[in-house]
Amino acid sequence: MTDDLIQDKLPFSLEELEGMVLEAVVKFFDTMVGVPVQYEGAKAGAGYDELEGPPPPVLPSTKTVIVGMVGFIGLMNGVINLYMEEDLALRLTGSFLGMSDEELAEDGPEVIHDTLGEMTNMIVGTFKNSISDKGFQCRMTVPSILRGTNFTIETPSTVFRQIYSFRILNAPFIADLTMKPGE
Amino acid sequence: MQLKILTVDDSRAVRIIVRKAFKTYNVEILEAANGVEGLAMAAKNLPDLILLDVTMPVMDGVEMLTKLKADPSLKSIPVIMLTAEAGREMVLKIAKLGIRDYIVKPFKEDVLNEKVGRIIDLRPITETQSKRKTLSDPCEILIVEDKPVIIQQITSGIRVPTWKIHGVASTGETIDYCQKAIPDVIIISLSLPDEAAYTLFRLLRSNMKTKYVPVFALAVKTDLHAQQQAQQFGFSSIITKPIDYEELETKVAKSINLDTSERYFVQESEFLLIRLPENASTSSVNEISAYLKPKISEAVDQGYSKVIFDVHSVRNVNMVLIKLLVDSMQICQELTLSYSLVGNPQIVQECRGFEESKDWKFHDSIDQAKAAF
Repeated sequence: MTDDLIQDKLPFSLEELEGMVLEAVVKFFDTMVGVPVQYEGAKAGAGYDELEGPPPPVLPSTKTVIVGMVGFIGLMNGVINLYMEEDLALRLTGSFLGMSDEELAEDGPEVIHDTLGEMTNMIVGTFKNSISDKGFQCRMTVPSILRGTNFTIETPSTVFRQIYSFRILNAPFIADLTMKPGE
Repeated sequence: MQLKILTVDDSRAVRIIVRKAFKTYNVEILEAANGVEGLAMAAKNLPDLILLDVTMPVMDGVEMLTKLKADPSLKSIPVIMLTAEAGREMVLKIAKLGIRDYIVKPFKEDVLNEKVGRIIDLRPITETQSKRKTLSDPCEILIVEDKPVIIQQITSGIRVPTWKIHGVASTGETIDYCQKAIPDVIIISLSLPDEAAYTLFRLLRSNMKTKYVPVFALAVKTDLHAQQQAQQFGFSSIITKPIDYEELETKVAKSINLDTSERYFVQESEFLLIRLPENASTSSVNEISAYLKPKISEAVDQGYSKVIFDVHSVRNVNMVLIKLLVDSMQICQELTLSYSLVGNPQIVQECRGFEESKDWKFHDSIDQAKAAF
């Protein structure tokens, strides 16, 4: 997607959006987890009405994939979905909370889901604060978590969608941004 | 006294991080998952600081903050917002409600500690532990009583030489005194005119400097109504007249977390001597019980293998004392320590009256007990 095309959908350039997403992801991992983030680039996400046949998964993997989702509503509406494999989710939770694998196992999956929810909340919060500071006030929704294998989350082509790929602890980590101006 | 921080956040992960951030400090962390729980916890525990999230289910942080500031008993609790919602508009909105500071998520642990440390007196655990006072350290007790003779009696009755007693006669004198020096314990006579004891208690509790100072009520033994009223009011303890000074000393020591073990446990060159007090009341026996295991274990660690229980000063043998001795002997047996008892003919006679102690053998003196090992 080019800047000319994005202007039809959003009052930001692709570069501005990329900067805001990168800042949100890097700031979180640097501050709360202390792990380096490698950015691998962005690509436009297709709307379900633009595709022939089933859309490919955002994170193709044979392993269980976990997605943290937090939306924002107001003068700009949207959602950021953060994709990662379960192994990475477990390692990030351990580092984030300073807990060992045994302690995490004792607490069960609830603590992992809660942590991923909070992680998504903080990353989307930083992004949302950036767009709010540019004059587009929004509020955030409560986080939700999706887990499974071989699934897709689809959006229509009328909204802007961009997929940002990262590598963290040598595993894929994806931020899938969907947004459109509020009513 | 341990400070309390209430963290109100729907995310358990954030509550775990807050707990971890203060793990090395002498603070108690209380947790609530939404504004409703947060208000209830605040009312029940009166924390020294609240860390408050904005977006939460049931009741969000803004609503909780509004209700907190509208409650006269809670409005003075400082609040730091800990939130991912940090747009300018939101910050201005919550600032108007009267927060002390805000921290934007994600945050560094250091930033959290620093901002909290600006509001409350954060002290590392090691520092507070190493500063635990003993009977040899000075302790200041302020007595608020308009009858000089009572102040004189207490001054003469307290036997710990390092404790200093100061007497004042009114609320005004108490406030003046506390502005110059914070006493370790305050004892207020409930017989001050015009219910002044309760007014003064409220004043002391609302002042940050004296908020955590233990305040005892001094009441006549038969005036049960006054004692009950003082208890309901939240006085740390009640002292009754005529005063039992041993009990008073025990209560003062407990309220300021004083290490009084030296009064009962003495490490001689070849054995650990455990001296039981003249008045084996429930409170003094409980005090000794709390030290029993750690003190005997410490002696074993240092190579001691013999223990002498010196019971000869005890005025009356009762079941509480017998139980203490039975427990002590059991600890000695578990640690394969030799032990013996020192008593007098009256103690021997009284012990025969209890099933548990009827066969106990006593020595007449410590030297005899030592020689018998």
